[in-house]
Formats: sequence, C-alpha cells, structure tokens
Amino acid sequence: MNNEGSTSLSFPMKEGIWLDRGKKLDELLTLSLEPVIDVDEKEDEVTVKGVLQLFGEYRPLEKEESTGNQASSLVDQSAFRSVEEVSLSEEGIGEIRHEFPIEVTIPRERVARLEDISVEINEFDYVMPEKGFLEITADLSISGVRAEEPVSTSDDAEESTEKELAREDRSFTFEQVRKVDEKEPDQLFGVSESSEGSEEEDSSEEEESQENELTFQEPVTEIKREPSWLDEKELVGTIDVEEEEDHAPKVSFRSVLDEEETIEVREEPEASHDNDYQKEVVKAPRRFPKNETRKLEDEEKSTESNVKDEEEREHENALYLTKMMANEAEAYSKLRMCIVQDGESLDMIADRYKLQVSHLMRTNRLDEEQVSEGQILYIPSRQSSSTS
Amino acid sequence: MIKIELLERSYPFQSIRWMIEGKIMDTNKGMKAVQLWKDEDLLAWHIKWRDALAEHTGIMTNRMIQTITGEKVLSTDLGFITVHDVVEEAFPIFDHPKQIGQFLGKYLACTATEEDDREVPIIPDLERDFDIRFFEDLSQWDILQKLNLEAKKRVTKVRELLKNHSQIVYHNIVPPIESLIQARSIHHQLFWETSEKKPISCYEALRNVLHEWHTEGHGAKIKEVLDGIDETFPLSEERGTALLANCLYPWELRSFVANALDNDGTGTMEQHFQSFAQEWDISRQLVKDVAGWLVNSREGVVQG
Repeated sequence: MNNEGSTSLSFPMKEGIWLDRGKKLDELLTLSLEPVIDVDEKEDEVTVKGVLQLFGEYRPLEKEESTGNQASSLVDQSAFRSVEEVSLSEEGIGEIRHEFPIEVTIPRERVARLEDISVEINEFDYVMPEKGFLEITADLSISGVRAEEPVSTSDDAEESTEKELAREDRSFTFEQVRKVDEKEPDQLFGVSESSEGSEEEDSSEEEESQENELTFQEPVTEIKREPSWLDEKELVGTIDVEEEEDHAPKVSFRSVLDEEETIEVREEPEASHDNDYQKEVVKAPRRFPKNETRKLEDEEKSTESNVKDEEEREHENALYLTKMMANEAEAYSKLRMCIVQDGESLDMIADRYKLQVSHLMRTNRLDEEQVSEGQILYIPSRQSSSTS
Repeated sequence: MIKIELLERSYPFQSIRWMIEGKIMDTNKGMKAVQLWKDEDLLAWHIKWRDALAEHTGIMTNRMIQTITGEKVLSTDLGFITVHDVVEEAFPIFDHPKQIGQFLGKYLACTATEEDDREVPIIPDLERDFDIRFFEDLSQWDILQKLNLEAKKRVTKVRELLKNHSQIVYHNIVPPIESLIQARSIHHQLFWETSEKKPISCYEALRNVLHEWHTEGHGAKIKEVLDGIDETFPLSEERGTALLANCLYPWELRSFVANALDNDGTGTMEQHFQSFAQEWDISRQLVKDVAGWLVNSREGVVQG
C-alpha cells in the first residue's frame, strides 16, 4: 500500500434511540457498534456502503402486571406475552438491534487500493438521559483514502489549487437520502461551499444550526442528530482529515471534485430490528442567504488574524438538518444542492434537474425567480424506497 | 365490461355516467354502486341476509335496488349485476360506542336462512401450524421464531378455553366486517355498507371489529362497545368464551404468513413484520379488555 498522502476521513456520529413499544431499561448490559461495509468501485468512484450495526443487551424494568386489580383465572388463562416480552431471552435479557446505514462515495483517484479502505469506530460511548432512551456517540473513520495534495503554502501550489477549485466549484452537489413525510417533503441537509474569494464570516446563526437536532420518532425509536459541519478540505482530502470536526456529517459523505463529481452526504432509511420510526427535526433548519459562506472553527482559529489579507480560498460546507417526518407511506427523498453559476437562471437549473421552476422556488422558499451567482439552491428529488 | 346502456335500460335512473368504471356511477338519483357477482348462491344469500338485517335492525343497508321490472338482480353474460345506494358520509362511530355495540349485536344475531345457524368451527383450522420457514432471511427472524412459539401457546390456550365447549358449535355466520368505515351516515342515521364477501363466523367478525376499534386508538371505549353488544347479543358463558377465544387466536400471524406468501408488493417483509408486531400487541390488549369485561360481567351476574 502506498501510504504516501494517505489519510483517513473522520466524522463523529450521534444518535438517539427510543426503545420500542415502551421498553424501559433497568440496566444496559452490553452495547456494541460494528461497521459492516462493502467497497465497490464504479467508474471514477469508490463507494463504501453498509451499515453500522448496533447491538446491545439490557435488563428491562419490571412491569406491573395488568391483572393486579382483577386477577382472575379467565384473565390469566388468556394472557400472552407482548412482542417485547417474547423478545427477551430466557434470563429476561432484552436485545437492542439497530442498523445505521452509511454510504460514502469517494473519488477513485483518492483511493490507491480498494483493499486499503476500511471503516473503523475510533471511539464509542453512550448515555441514557432517560429510561428507554439511548444516546450514542461515536467517532468513525474511513482509512485508505489518499490526500490529493498536501497542503501547501507556496504560490505555485496556491495557484494550482485555485484553478482546480475554480473548476471544482462549478458543480458542487450534495445528496442525502432520507425518509420524508409525504406531506412535508422538506429539505434535509444542506451543504454550503463557498467559491473563491469567500469572505470570512462567522455567525451565531451558524452556531445555532449546529445545534439543530434531528429526531426520528414513532412510538418507537428516536434518533437525534446534531447538525453537521463538514470542512470542505476534509471533503476534498487536501488537509489532514484526522482532525475531526465536532459537527462533521454523522453518517456519511461523498466527495467528488470535478464538474461531474459530487459531494454527497447520504443517509439511507435506517432499518431497525427493534423499531420502526419516523424522523423529525426538532428545530427549524437554518437557511443560507445568498453567497453566505462559513468558516470552520479550525480555519477561523488559524487564519483569524490574516484572513483579510490573504486571498486564500476558504471552502466551506455546512450541513444542517431540517424537519422531516415519516408516515406509513414513507418515501426516501434525495436532496442535492447546487451553487448558481454566473449567467444561470432558475429556468436553466430547473431544466437541468428536470424540475418545475415553482417546485424549486417552493423548496428554496424563493419569492421571485431571480437567482444570483453563488446562491445555494436545494434540488429535491424523490425516489421510491425500493430504489434507495 | 358493464355497459352503461344496459344499466340505463334496466334501472330507473337517467343521466348515468361512470365515476369509477364498472363500480360507481352517478345518476339522477345520486351515486350508485354496481356489483358484479359470479357466485349465484352467494348472491342469493346476500340478498336474503341484507333484507333480514334491515328488518331485524331497522338500519339502512346497501340492499339490492330493484330493476324496472322489479328484479333485484340483472343477469348478464358477465355474471349477475346488482346496484346499490352509495353513502359518502362516514358515521361518527367512535362517538357512539354503545349504540354501535347494540347495532353490532343485532348484526351478529341476524340470520338470513335457517341454515345460517349452523355448525361451524369457532376458529377454522385451529390446529393448523404456521409455516414461517419462508421468513428465514427476515432480519427479525429470531423474534419471529419466538413469536411463533408464543402463538402456539396462544392456540393451546384457545383450545383450553374451548375445552368445555364443543370445537364445533352452533353459531351464526355473517358477512365479514372488513372495516368500520362501512358505517356511513345519512341524515345522521346509520347506514351500514354490507360487504359482499363470503360469510364468516360471527365471532371472527366481532373480533375484527374490536381489533380495529383498538387499532384506531379508541381502546378505552371497548367496554362500552361490549356493553352495547351484550344488550342485543348477550355474551353469555358460551358466546363470551367464543369471542375471547377468537381474540386470543393469533390471527395476525396467520395473516402475516398469508400476506407475505401472496407477496402483493404492498411493502417490504420488514414492514409487514412491523405491522404484524403491532397487531400482535393490539391483540394482547384486546384479549385483556375482553377477558376483563367478561370477568366483570359474570361477577355482576353472580352478585346480582
């Protein structure tokens, strides 16, 4: 393996799970999180796809028997166990099974050898803020990904990077697949990437969005997710991606560089052995105004003093979550994002994605058809669950 | 295809047009449903049963509208055609649990012919095992296996409940109640849209109604429904036990297996399993409710 320039992509994940059908944990006995992935090569992409399998054992709280008040032979004679009770082992140990699907697409040129690709759980912890609710945090890393270029401060390198990034900026899209309420096909994630000349900017609004919380709930399971910020440099693999962002994408991402490539964060519908659930974001999504850019915290720290002087490019991605709910007729929604280029109109973009202008306007909450260069547009599409 | 012209010639309606081809038509006298029957015996039974229901309960139902010549059935090359009133407004059943119970009791007691009070098993194929091998690839396979074992215990308990009763008992058959949506409202009066399906045991029909009542989130009113039923269809010792046995029997597993094998493409296996699991827990609560109601009811009789 050629380790030169090789690095790993790291991102934290935070998930909350409501246990099914009113399960109440008295004691959590074991808990494990294990990645099960396949690596596929397709043309100029390498896809890392699979699930993070959560498995745990718990001792449930003793339930009061319903026959307490009217214990009778007939009631006892006809009583049978609930699904949860049946699921318990002979020793009365319950099992938690849950899968978090992940899919990461990496440009082929970033991968020297497919065999080197692996997903690892670096850290893993949990808390039980309340009975029946499990909050899991983990740091995931995908190793075997080659950094495209070392970070360089030389003029040549900057020029080169500048040209390349200018090309890359042409098409930066971001996809996520999620369950969405048919009635509220709201946008799900957003990724913002500034193009050249991004102004330094930090806003409390962005900080707020980091606190956005995504909740998946039914009676059963709830997954809370904090909004994620993903450093573009991580995505493009030109910096040390071991440096973790607190708010990196929780599940997966896809990063591609040229015009045909995309950066994709995708979360597939999560299948649970124990639970089925709906997803919902607790807080409203934050939206980016035109040309809004964001500096990541690490960048801010390192370049705070000289950012105005240098013409370095800051390429930022912001992930945030928006409200979504799922019902019986859940579908998976794929959301892309594009940056409006000079001379592009809403008509052209709608045509490109085979959408109606009104649909685009509604999705992006636009009051008029006017768009301007650098504006972020969300490109929704819908696909059936069977194809997700 | 059923031709509009034939219907216009045969029924006292004008300006007929299809709203749903072959099923629902709009006429100068309102919407009408068109039903095509292949089984003449079943049709004959339904004609009698619906007439009996209307007479027995005083409730309007979708009886066969007569042709211009006074016939209830139009015989065609396609089969036998009947036409029925369509009522669009739903009856607010959950606001009237006891009254609905009273109606259901009359419904269950309604007989079309002498043969309807016949010897039929309370639960058909009670001894039949559920073949779950088909689901070995299901991610919930382990749980399904355990539920299958529990289902067998439920069947054993059903057998136990019925041991003092004959497995084959003399009881009524009625058209299945597929959904409480069949309760319609016309001028604030109940209009019952009777199913055209083959008749089933009245206990199975009742179990399905109560299960749906629970599924719709109105389990708290089940006791009122049972009170109402008891007034018109006394759930005495044998009837109450037969109902309880039907609630206890794992119909949901039977249905899950059948649906999955049919593979009707309405969902993934996992989704079917989730529905099954939810139905299982609803059945469990329903059994508690019915058993508890029976205990109270019988204690009341003893004390009274």
